[in-house]
Amino acid sequence: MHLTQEAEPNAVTATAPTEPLLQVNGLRVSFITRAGRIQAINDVSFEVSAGETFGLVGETGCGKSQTALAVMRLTPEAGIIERGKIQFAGANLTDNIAHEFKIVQKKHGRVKLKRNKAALKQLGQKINQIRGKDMSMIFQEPMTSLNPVYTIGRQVSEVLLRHKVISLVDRILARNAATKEKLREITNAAARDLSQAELRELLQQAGLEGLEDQVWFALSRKDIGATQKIRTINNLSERKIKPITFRFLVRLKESKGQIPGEYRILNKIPIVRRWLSGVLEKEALEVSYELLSVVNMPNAANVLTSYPHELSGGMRQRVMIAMAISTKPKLVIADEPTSALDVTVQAQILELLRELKRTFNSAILFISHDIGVVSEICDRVGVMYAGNLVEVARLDELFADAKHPYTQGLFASIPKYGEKRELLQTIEGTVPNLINPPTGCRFRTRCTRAFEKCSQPPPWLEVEQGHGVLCWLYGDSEKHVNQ
Amino acid sequence: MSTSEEILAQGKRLKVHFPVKTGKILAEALYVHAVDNVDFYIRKGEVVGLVGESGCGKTTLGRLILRLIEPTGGALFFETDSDTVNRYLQLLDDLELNPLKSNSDPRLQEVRSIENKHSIFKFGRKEMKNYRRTTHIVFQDPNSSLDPRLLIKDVVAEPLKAHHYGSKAEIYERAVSLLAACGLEAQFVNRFPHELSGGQRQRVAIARALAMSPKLIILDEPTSALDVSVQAQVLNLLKKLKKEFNLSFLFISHHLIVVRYMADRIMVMYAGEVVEAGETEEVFTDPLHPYTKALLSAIPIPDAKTKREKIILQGEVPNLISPPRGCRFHPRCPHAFEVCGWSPKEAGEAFTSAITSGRYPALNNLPTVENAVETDETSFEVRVNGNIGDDELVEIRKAIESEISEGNRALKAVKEINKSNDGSTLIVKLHPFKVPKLALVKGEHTVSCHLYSEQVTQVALNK
Amino acid sequence: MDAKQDTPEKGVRTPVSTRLQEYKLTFKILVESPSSAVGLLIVLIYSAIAVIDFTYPSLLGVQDAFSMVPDYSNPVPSAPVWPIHPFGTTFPGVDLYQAVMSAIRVDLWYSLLIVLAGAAIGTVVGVLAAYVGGYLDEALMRFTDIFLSVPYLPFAIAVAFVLGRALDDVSIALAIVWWPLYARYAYGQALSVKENAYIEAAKASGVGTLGIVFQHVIPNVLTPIFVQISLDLGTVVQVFAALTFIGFASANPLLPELGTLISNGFQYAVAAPWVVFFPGLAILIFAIGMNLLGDGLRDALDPRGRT
Repeated sequence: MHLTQEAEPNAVTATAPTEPLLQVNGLRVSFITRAGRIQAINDVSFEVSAGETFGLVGETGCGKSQTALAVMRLTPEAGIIERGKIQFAGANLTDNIAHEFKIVQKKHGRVKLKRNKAALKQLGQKINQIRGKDMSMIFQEPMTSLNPVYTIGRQVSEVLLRHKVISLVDRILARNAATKEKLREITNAAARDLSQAELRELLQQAGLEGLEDQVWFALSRKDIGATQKIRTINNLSERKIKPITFRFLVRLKESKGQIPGEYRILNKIPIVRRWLSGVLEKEALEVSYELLSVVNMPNAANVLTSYPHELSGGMRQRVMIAMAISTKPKLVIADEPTSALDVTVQAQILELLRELKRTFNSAILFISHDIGVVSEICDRVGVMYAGNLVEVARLDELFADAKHPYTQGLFASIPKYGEKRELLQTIEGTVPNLINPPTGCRFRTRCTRAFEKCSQPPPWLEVEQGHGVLCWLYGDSEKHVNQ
Repeated sequence: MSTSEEILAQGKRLKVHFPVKTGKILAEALYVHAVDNVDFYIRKGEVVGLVGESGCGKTTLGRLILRLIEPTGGALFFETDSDTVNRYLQLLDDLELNPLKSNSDPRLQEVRSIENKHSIFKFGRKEMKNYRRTTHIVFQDPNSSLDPRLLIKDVVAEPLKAHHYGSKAEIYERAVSLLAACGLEAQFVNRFPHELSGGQRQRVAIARALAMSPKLIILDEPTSALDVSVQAQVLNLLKKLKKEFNLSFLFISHHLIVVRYMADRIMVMYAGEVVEAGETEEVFTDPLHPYTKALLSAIPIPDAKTKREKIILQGEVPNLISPPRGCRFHPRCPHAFEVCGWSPKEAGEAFTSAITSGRYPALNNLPTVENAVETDETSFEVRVNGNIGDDELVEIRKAIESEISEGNRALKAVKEINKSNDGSTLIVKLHPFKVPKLALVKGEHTVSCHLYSEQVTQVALNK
Repeated sequence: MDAKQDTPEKGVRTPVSTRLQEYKLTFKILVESPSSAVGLLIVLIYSAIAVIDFTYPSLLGVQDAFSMVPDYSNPVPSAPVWPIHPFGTTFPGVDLYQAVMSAIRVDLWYSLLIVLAGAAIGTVVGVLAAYVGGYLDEALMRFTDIFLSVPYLPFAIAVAFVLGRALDDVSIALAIVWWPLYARYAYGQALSVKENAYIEAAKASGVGTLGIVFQHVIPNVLTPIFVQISLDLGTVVQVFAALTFIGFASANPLLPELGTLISNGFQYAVAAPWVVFFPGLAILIFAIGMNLLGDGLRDALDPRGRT
C-alpha cells in the first residue's frame, strides 16, 4: 500500500453550533432510462442535527436509498441531481450540479446524458475528503460490500491509511515519548474510575495525547483483569521505534500526511516504500483490532486475518460498522443495515449501534423499510412515498399522531402485535409509475381522503413544532411554511 | 376459528441429512443435519406457523412435507385414518421403552408395514401424483417462482394440465376464474410475469396453488419479499381463501408479527429441531424455551412507547454438520446448566481462559497452563508446566465457583476438579448430559428443554 | 445499488406486450449500437444472397446455382473486368462472381446444418445431465469431456477420413465435433435454471421430470444458446472452408464452395490474387458480421439492459 498523498482536508469547515449537520433542500433526482425519465426524488428537504439519529422510512421505490446515495454523491450512472442543495458540515456538495451534466435530446424523443469531466473531477476531489472520513456509509448487503480477496484486517486498515495517517503517526510517536514514570501516574489515576475526558486531560498534561485511544481501549476491555490492564498500559512505553523511523514520522506529521520532500525519491525505491508504509500498516492493524473489539467481534484477532467469506452475516456487518466508525465520522449513513440479518442478530446489531451512538455521538441517517427497526433506534423519522417526503416528526410524535394519510395507512397495514383482528386495513392500489406520476400529490390516486385540490402539488406544512406534513388536508396554502 | 379435530397431516421422526461433498475420496462421510427428529401435525382448516431463523430447517421441512426433497428418515401420513396412526405412534413409544430384541421383532414388522402402506415417503409414482393434487406450495421469491417464458394463464394452468383436469377450454376457464378469485382481473391473463409487480406475482402463485383444490398449502415466507402495504393485501387474501375453501396452511416465516397474526398454532425451530410448539397466543404470551424468549424479545415492534427487556443472544447459529451435543441451543442459552450438553472442549476452553485471565489474583503465581485436552466424553485434562500444590487446587476450585456464580455457563458443567498425584495435571470431570425431548408441559404447549423436566414428569404422571 | 432497486418496476401500465413486442424491443436495441447494426446488415445481406441464389439465381446474375460454369476456351484466370467479370475469372475459366454468390449459399447451408445439429444434441445432453444429476450427470459429462479433450480440427479430419470425403461427411464430422461445446454450455445454464422456484413449483404441480426438462428448463436455456449459435456460425464457416481447402470436396467437383474456390485458385494466387481474394473476403466478412451480430444479440437479450 502506498502512503496517501492527501493533506488534511480543508473542505469541511467548523459549523456553527446552531446549524444542522446535514441540510438537504429541494432535492430532485431523475434517472434517464430507455423507458423514459424516472422522477425518483421529487423536491425532498430535511435536516439532520449533530448527534441525532434520523430515520428514513418507506416502501420499495419511494426513493429513500437514492436519497442517501445522493447525499454521498454516489448516484448511479443513469441518474442526475437536477436541482437541490446538499450542505454537509458547512460544505456545499451541490454547488456545481448545473455544470456536471447535460441532457442532450436525440431524435425519436430519446435522451442522452453527457457528463462534464472537469466538473466531476472537481467534485471528486472535494467529496473524497469528506466521504469515508466525516461521512461514512453502511450498506445493506454485508455479503457483497466487503472485498472477497482481501483480509478483514487489510480492509479496515485501508480506511485508516487513507484518512487517518496523522492519528496513526501520533499514536506511534506518543508511545515513543512515553516513559514508565509518566505512565505510572496515569495508571494510578485509573485505579479510581476515570472518564474519557479526564483521561484526555491527564494525557495532555503529560504531553501524550496520542496515547488516549490506546489507554482508553485497555481500560475498557472486559476480558482481562485490573492488574493485567495496568500491565498492558505500562508496556506501551516499551515499544520504541528506531531513530530513522522517528525522523520520518515527525517529518510526515509536519507535512500533514504528505510524503515529505526529502523522502520522495527514497519512496520510489520499492523496498524503502514497503518499509515506510509497513510501519503505518502495522499500526493501522492494531487500530483495526481495537475497532473490532469495540464492535464486540468475538475472536477479533482471528477475524483480522480472515477473509469475508469465512464470516457470518452478523460478523460482516460488524466489520462494516467498524470501518464506518474508524474515522469517527460526524455522520453515518446506514442503508438497511439489518435487513439481510436474522432477528436475533439484528437485535445484536441494533444494540451495538445504540451503544456506539452513546460513545461516539455521531449522527446517523438510518434508512429502512421496517418501521419496527426504525422505532428501535431513531429520534426523528421521515416517511417517503414515491419520491416525496410526506411526513417528518419525532418518533413518539409520529406513532402517537401520524398526520399524512399514507403514514396512517402504513401503520394500519401492519398487524398489531397481540391484537387478533380479522382482516388488515390495506391501502388500495399500487405505487405509481414514476415516469408519469400523478400530477400534484403523488398519493392522491390511492388516498381515501383526496379532493380536488390534490391535483396541485401539496405544500409542506408545519403542523406542530418539528412535525411537518406534505398534504392539503392540513391548512391553506397561504399559511404554508417553507422548510 | 373453527377447526375440526380431524388431523390432516402428521409427520413423525422426520430427518433430513444432506451429505457434504468434501471432494476427498476416502474421507469420512459428513452430513448437514438440516432436520432432525421432527414431529408435527396439522389439522383440517388450521394454520400452523413455523418460525425460526436462517438455517433452522423450516424451509427444508416445508419442502419435505411435499416430498420435493427426499427424507433421510421418518414417516409422513396424510389423511390416514386415526386408528392406524395411533397404532403407529403406540408402536414407536413401545419400541422406545422396550428396545428391539432382534430384527424379526413383530413390532418392527408392523411399523414397517404401516409405513409402506401409508407413509407418503413410500409412495410410488402414481400415488405421489395423487398426493400432489391435494397439496401445493407458494414460494418466497415472486421473481423466480413463475417461469418468465410463460403467460400468466399458462402458469396457473400448469397443474390443471398435469393432472388432466379437462379439455383446454375447461382448463383455461378455471385458470381465469382462479386468477379472479385472487384479485387479478382479466387484463393480466395474457401477460408475462415480468410485467407484474411482486404482489401481483404472489397472487398468481397463490392462484396456481389453488388450481386442483388442495387441502394443504405450504406457504414458504409468502410475504417476506413484499412491501408492508402489499403484504397486508396478500395476507387478507390468504385469510379469505382459507375460509372459503377450508384450507390448511403451513405458514413458514421468520417474521413473528405476521405469524402471530396468521397462525392458530406455532412451532419454533432451532438448528434443525423443534424447540417449542403450542397455540399461538399461549406461546407468545408465555414462551417457555429460552430461545423462544430471546426471539420474541428481539422483534422490533413499531411502537415508540413500550420498552421491553431485550434478551441479546451471544454467538451465532451453530454449524449443522457437527451441531452442539445435548441441547443444540446450550452454547448460547443464558440458562444452560450441567446437563445441557457442554462438551469437554467448551468447558475446557472456558476453564483455561478463566484461570489465566488475571481476574483471580490468587492464581497469579500459577505455572503456565497448556490447553485443555479431552480425555473422554465427560472429562478433560490440563497440563501445567510445574506443580500444583493442594492450596493452589483449593484456590482454583474457588475461582471456578466464582466464575460460575458470575454467569460463566460452560463451567456449570464442571463436576469435580482434581489433580494428578504428581501435581502436574489438573483432571476435570463434567456432569453427564441428556438430550432434551419435545414434551407436553400444559394444554397443547410442548417444549424441548431441561428447565421444564419436572413439569413434564408431572404432566406425564397425571395422564 | 442500481437504479432499478429503488424505482418501482410496474404500476398502472397500459396493456402491453406479447411475444411480438418483446422481439421488437430486441430488434430496437440491436440496431442502436453501430457494431451490431453492421453485423445484422451483413448477415441479412448474406441470407438474402443465399435465398435469392436458391430461388431466382438469375436475379443475381448467376447462371447455374449448383455448378460452376467453366469456360475451357479461356482457362487461365483473368483480371476483373466490369461488367462481364466483376470479380475476374478463376481456373478453369469460371466467373468468380457467380461462383462466390452460389458458394455463399452452399456454405451457409452446411454451416447452419452443422451448428443446429450440434446445438440440438448438445443442449439435450447438457440439460439432461444438469437436471437429472447423479450418475447420469457424471456419465454424460465425462463422455462430453472426452470429446472436448481432442483438438477439433484433427478430430474432424479423422472422422471425415473414416466416413468419406464428401461434403456431407464433413458436415457430420463437424457436428460431432461441435455438440460437446453446447453440452457443456447448456449444462452450466441448466444448473442455474434448476435453482429457480418455478421448477419446484412444477414438481409440486405434478409435472414429471421429462415434462419439466422440455417445458421449463430447455426454453429458459435457449436464449444464451441462441446467442452462442449465432457466434458459432461465423466460426463454422471458416472451419468448413478450411476443411474443403485441405481437400475434402463433394462428389461434384464443380459445386461452388468457398474453400474449394480458394484451393482451386491457390496455385495462381501470386499471379492472379483475385482468385483467392474474393472468396476469402466473403468468408471474412461473414465471420465478422456474425460475430458482431452475436455480441449484439447477447447484449440485447440481457434482461438488465432492457429497462
